[in-house]
Amino acid sequence: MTARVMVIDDSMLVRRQVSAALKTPGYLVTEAVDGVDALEKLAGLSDTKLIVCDVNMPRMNGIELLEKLSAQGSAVPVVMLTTEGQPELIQRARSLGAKGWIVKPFKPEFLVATAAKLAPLGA
Amino acid sequence: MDQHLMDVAIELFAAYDVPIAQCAAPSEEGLGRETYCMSSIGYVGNGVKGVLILAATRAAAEAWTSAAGGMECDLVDTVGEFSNMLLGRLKGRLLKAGIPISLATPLTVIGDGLRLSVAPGASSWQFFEGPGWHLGTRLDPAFEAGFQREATAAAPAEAGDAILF
Repeated sequence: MTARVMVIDDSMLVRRQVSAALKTPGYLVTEAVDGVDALEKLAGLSDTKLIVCDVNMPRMNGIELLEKLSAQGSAVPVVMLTTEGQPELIQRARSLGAKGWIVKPFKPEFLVATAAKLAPLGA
Repeated sequence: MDQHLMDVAIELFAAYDVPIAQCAAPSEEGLGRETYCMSSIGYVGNGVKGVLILAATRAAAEAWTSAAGGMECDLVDTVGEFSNMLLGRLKGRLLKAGIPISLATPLTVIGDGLRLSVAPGASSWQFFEGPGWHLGTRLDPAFEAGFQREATAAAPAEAGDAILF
């Protein structure tokens, strides 16, 4: 049994890197270009088990998306994948329910291990 | 700040197994007619603001795209993302130095022989070379009168760090 992951990043390159890493072990991946796009797609994808999300994006950034998801009572775990490492931002994300923070460039094996922990295949 | 920029540029490309070395301007015009992609990201802090510029030749953009696992059609996106990662690393360094900044998102343009018009007295280009290609980058910080470094708080997460809550 597989699990769906939503990858949210305004960079096509990063979306491709993350998608390739997660598709290898068998995850289904849906891509979104920013928080607005993600919310629209999440509304129609109730089987999403994990969100991997950038912070700095146009229209709606990753922190704003976390606020929206928190307000909606979403239970989908979110891992932030970003160039940002500022402690205040990390704490803000954590307080909004994020489950992890990875600073780019990322190691594919760690991303896959993180996905396996938060959204195990076959669960 | 230019020294920090040079350091993080070398670190970033090393992370992708793309070694670069600082070099003199490749021509009187810098990258000159070879400039193919140029990405800019604004930043702002308490008493400081500016724009990071990353300029690349086509060969450079192709080399980075290949190193990052991208395809030919991703050249512009790659240069934008590398500028984003460059400024992201620099942000961590500046935070440690008591200069916290916030970042905008990248704006990248593509074309032949791109040129940048900058005000006199702004910072200078830092040029680097890789195998058969060049890149140029600059920060152009503008400090307000009375600017002061802030007390450094907790250390920022570094590139490659992964934290599970």
